[in-house]
Amino acid sequence: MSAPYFDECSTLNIPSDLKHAINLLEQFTGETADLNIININIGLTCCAVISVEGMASSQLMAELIFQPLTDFAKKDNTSADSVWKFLTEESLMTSDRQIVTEYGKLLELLFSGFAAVITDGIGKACVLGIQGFEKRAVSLPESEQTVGGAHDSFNEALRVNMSLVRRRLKTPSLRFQLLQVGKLSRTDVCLAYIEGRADPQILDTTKQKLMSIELDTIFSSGYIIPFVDDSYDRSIFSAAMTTERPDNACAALNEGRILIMIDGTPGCVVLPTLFSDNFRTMDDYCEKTFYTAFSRIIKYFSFILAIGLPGLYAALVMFHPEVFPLKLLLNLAAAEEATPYPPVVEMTVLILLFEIMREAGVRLPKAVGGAVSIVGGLIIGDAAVKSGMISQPLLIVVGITATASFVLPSLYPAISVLRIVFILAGGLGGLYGIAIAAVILAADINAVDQYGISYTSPLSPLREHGLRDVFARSSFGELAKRRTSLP
Amino acid sequence: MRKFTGFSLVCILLCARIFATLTFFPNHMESGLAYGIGAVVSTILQCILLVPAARLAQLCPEGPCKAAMDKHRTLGTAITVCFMLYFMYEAFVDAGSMAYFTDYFFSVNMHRALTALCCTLAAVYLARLDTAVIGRTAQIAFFGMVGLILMMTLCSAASMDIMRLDLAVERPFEVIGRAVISETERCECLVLFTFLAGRSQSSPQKSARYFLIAKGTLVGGLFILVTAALGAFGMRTKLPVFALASFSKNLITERSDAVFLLVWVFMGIVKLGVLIHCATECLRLLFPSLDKMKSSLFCGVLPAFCALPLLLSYKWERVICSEHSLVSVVGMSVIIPLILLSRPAAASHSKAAA
Repeated sequence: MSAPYFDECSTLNIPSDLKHAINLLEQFTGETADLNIININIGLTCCAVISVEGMASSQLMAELIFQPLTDFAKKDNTSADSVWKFLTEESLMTSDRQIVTEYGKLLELLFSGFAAVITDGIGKACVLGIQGFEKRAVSLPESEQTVGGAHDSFNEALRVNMSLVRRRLKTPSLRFQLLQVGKLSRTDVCLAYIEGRADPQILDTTKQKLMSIELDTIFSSGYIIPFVDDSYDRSIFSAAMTTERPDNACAALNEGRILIMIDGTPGCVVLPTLFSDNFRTMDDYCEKTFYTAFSRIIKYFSFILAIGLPGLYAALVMFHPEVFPLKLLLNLAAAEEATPYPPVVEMTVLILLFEIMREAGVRLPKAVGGAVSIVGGLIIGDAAVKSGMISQPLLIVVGITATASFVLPSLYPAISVLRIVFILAGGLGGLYGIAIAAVILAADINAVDQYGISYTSPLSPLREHGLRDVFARSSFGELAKRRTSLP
Repeated sequence: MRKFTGFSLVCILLCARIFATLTFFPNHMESGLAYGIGAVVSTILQCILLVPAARLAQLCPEGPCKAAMDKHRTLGTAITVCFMLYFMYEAFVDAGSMAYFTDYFFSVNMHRALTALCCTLAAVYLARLDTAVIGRTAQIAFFGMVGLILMMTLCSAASMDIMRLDLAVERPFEVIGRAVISETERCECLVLFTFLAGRSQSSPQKSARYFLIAKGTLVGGLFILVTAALGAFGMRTKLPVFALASFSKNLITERSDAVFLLVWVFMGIVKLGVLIHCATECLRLLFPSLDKMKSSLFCGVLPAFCALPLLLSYKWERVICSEHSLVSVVGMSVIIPLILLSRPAAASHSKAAA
């Protein structure tokens, strides 16, 4: 069975005979049930209006296609040429009108919600943009919530996302380039950039990478990131970030970065990115500098806590108890003495249980989610401690770690895995193991680069440009002079 | 191969040098102040010693081995082999020392062989990355080291006594002279500078200047810190900096030796990674068809493997207590650059004659 791609029909021209054209179309689509073909006579000329059920708006079709054509049918001259001229030159049916000669393009547009009008005797189709498929309204961002910033987010419709960006950047230098990626899905992918700000070399390289993707389907940004991120397989961190906030995306465009928006994905990919971008939020630009600096330091501290605190606790309690002050040491010793397992085992089990609870909380219906929280809190928090299976200090450590890890949603996948690594390193090798894990982590972060830009820039290599913005937000006067932290 | 910044180079060299000082002080030290003065004098002398290396780095950014290979195949091979063996020997000493001292002072539940293997594998992982990446990791190690020194200084400030900084020795100039030689013998960072300086984005002379100023300050400062805080005890104990960290108490922790372990291991692995990286480059210059991963593994695992018999038979002290050779440091960092600098004139004469 041959691959179900557009190859067979992509370059085949639409014949001028209407019946033959319709037959070919039905043959290519296998007479699929959602393809609507309405034959209509416009005076002396036979036409066919083709659309896909649920993709094109019936109301718009009636108002913008049927009504004008029905009115035109009353005229004296209804030859094929005059009908075609009316469709293509003398009427304003929709703002998006394309002339298509090949079946490949015709099918792409039909499946994108366009309606096509084929006229007998004219070997072309007039395709009109009257999309009416169901789409989600612009809503609150799910994972990047802020206090002071905007409260809208991208949704699955590419055109809506493009408009959300255009609305915020009313500059003619903002450019959108559309590509189709995915041999089967032909997903619309849009490259957005500001001419004169984005590096042309990075833009060209990104475009080439996107066009070289050989996948059949593209359903989310996760399908594309491995192809545009050079260090995807080399590091646990990704040099391409996703955001669901239009304001974040526009700020990135202003800094000379490139957005990749994918139809069907409520977000966009931003590249190149720096490690410090994971610690910036739109709230930073809504508050005063002193609070922003405080908030940033809290985020960095949360990152270290989320990754290192459980492993550090296991290492110090098991191998280096002399570090603790005497009172704390006695409390810890009493708490750990009562539990049956070594701290590293308890810590690993608790963290894994927490991840199971978190995963369940994400997948469960909202109505049941509350019950899971109660069960998790009761079982893990109360019963496990009272039964002596885990110690209270350990539970405090896990609670702090879990809270700290949610401060940085973009780094959560890396934090989840690294946390376990550090627990095992600390539990097996003490601070020696922690140090080795820390070196490997530092090397891993430093090894990430995208298009020649180091992921740890401007901290390493040390550059004055943008350095202050890593730990605190520069004043708007400085930001006006220096608009980007990219080197 | 991407170039790295001058700051990265300085951090790499400081990691290599300060790690040795943090690990242990030279034997038979009679006065901490004398040794601190000796360290500063040695640093001043190194300003002169590094002149040929800096000049060579400026003329031949690809490094001394490649430059030697381009000039004369046999000479290049000999120089490359010298550098490779030197780096592998230093990797052998460092891998063994890390395993020895980790086991000696910390209750790590790992066998010495496993300790050596873990740090070697971590260093191999680092060594197979680009030099620029190693430089960036060295920057983190550097800041960790500065933090450790500051913490030790603040925590032991109460017990510091300036009266302990005395030159109460019989022959102070002799002691200072011995300190100068001991300090220079331990400076494998000079050989690293000779090898890596050409890849720095900034001028080699500038990098050398900043490196020597920072090294003199840090090494001299460490000796004075230990002497002022611990006095004569510091000079008698085997690992004075570790002893200082153990006695450093603050509001949060009773001792700071755990922090010392963290920073010391971090710096040790960075240094070991740099040495393996340089040895790997030499090996690949001799055998260009070799894979980078396999070369790194060979250059890392072989020294660790050689250290195992001494570690397991508890005879590692013979290695660390033995005197380092000044000849190797001076030969690699001064003589070889001088030979290579003298070659261009001979090469151009021979070309003109032909």
